This record gives sequence, C-alpha cells and structure tokens, in this order.
Amino acid sequence: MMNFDISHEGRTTLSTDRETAEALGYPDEVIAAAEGGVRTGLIKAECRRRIYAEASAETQMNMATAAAVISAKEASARTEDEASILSGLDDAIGWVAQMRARVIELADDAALDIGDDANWPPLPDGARDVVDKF
Amino acid sequence: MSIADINNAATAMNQLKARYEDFLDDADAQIAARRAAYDGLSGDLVGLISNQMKFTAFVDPDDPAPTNVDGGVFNTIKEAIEAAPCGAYVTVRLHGDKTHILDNFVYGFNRSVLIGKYGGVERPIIDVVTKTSSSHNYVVSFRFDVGGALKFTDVDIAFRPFVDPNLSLSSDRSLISYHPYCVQNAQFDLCNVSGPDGVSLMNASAGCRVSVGMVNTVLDGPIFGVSGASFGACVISTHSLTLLNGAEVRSGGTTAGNVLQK
Repeated sequence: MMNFDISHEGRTTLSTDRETAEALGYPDEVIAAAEGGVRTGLIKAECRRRIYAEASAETQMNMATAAAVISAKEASARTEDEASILSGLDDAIGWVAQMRARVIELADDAALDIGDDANWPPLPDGARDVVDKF
Repeated sequence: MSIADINNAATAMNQLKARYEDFLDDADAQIAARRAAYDGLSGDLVGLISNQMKFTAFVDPDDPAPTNVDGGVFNTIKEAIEAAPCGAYVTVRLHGDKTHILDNFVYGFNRSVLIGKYGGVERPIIDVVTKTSSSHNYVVSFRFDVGGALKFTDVDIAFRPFVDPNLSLSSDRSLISYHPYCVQNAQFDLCNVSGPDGVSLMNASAGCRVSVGMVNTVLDGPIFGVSGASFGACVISTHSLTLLNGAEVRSGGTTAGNVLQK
C-alpha cells in the first residue's frame, strides 16, 4: 500500500493512503497527483541509486578532475589514453542524461517496474571503461 | 469464707474458663481462616499481582454514586488513574456523548494508561482547562514524570481558550507535560484535537525526549503535535494525520526523517 502526503483547500493529511484519503473526502484527481508524486520520488531515488552504484561520488570527482586536466590540453597534445578517457566521459555524461530522461518516462507509465534492469538504459562500454580507471 | 462465697468463686472461675476456651476456639478459627486466605494468595502470586496491576475504570461525570474501585465507576479521569497502583496497566473508558473536564494535573507515576470510549454514540470530549499564574497562561496536563505511557483512542480533546489573552503562554502548554527524567510516550488514535494558539499534545522543552504517534487524528487550529521541538529530541510517527486551520506537526526542530538506521 502506497503512503503519501496530500493537501487540498487548506487541509493537509500526512502519511495516508488512497482508501483513507477517499474516506476523508479528498478529490480523486488530488489523490492521483499525490500518488504520482510518490512514484516520481521513488523513481528519482532509484535513478540516483543506479548511477552511484556504477560510479561512487569519489569516482565521479576523480573523473571530473581528470576531464578538466585533459581538456586543458590542446587536442593535438593529448595521448591516446587521454583521448579515450574523454570519449568515455562523453559516454558517461550521455548515459546520465538518458537515465534522467527515463525517470520522466517511468513516472508517466505506472505499469513499468522501476526495479527491472530492462527498464533502465545500460551503461555504455566506453563509460564503464573510464569508470574502471577511477 | 462461707460456702456461698466458695460457690460464687467457683461459678466465676467456670465462666472465666468458658470464656477463655471460647476465645481460644475463636482465635484458632481466625488463624485457620487467615492461613487459608494466605495459602490462597501465595498459591497464585503471579495471578494475584497480575490482577492487581490491571486496573479498569469507567468514567461517568454524571454518576451520582461512583464506586471508585477497580472495575467500577469514577467521576473524573484524575480519580480513575490515580486510584490504580503505581506501575499498573490502566484502562480508562470515558462515557461517550459526554464532556470530561480535566481541571487538575493528573499524575502518572509509571502507569501505562489507555484512555478510550464506552457507551453513547459520539466520542467523549476531554475538556482541557487553562489557568493563569501571575505571569502566564498555562494548561492543565497529564504528568508522567517518572515513566509510563498514554494512549488516547476514539476520544476528542479540546483545550479551552486562554483565561487572560493578555498574558503569554507558559512552557506548560501541552496535554502531556514535559519532563527530563525519561522519554514521554504517547499515541493518539482517532482523536480530534483543537485549541488556542500554541498549545500542543506533547512538549520537548528543556532537553526532553518525546515519542509520539498520531494516527487517524485531526489537529485543528493554531496548535502543534509537539511544541518545543527544537529544545529536545523527538520521534514523531504519523499515519493519516490531518492538519487544519494552521495546525502543524511540531514547532521548531529539524527533521531527520522518520527512520534512524545504522
């Protein structure tokens, strides 16, 4: 059973559920919006969990530092490894953008299971390679 | 000494002897009866103590002849709770459709108290009196200073308006007083609560610890579930808690969520 906070016309009820909210007289569209808000929150938390499962905060900081150092060099002065790192970082940033976009899609379709790996974009190999370096 | 004197003395002696023997018989009977009673008690000490520590009271403010005993009728909540042994589990049933005035402090002394409803149709109302000192308005309350717990279920709680609107509100502003000795425990289930600006169900002032649950309950008006939250530590649990007309779960404090987990 999903619990949510709900407000309507100056009245707020905390930690309630659909059945109780209906009994308290909250309109169905307000209940639906409150339930939707809970699902969006859960999806955002799952998105964040999946991103940090691939790259911890320390790894992300190290990647950003490396990107800054490498980007400061002229492109012609970068080694092959450095160029590979920048490419992998592009893949990683693109993946994060895909994950965020997926949050909206999953929020719009309550039938999709947010715990199913198949419903989230896979980490590209290029991004995985650069994550492994840091 | 005449024969008559000797006969009188013998008669008196026989009467004394008979009286003495009656006394012994009576004493033996009393000893036997009391020994049997003691054997009865000592044979089931657990049951005896359990029975003594479960206290039930029915409160009807209009009953002209309250019995004031376990299982009987009392006129006030205070009389009912304070008649129970310290440390007892006390069930207090308030007569529905009636208003029960709380006009004196109720002392808990480690009792665990359930306050609910019996009879009638509408919920009973606990009418919480407010009073004044020379400088403040204050609220009459339950004082569970040295432990215990309170559960209110299916009763409404209405704090009266302040006696003197020109005086500020004392820190004695909650239905259950704050006290630093131990965690103040309470739950409110199926209660409608209303009152004047700043009063609360519980209070974490002066570094106190409060544990409160508010379930299927309505706070109506400029009141709080917990006041002084920034001055102590609170565990607040809610399920279907409705806030109306400016009510808030707590005054002050910073929430860390409802779960602390290592």
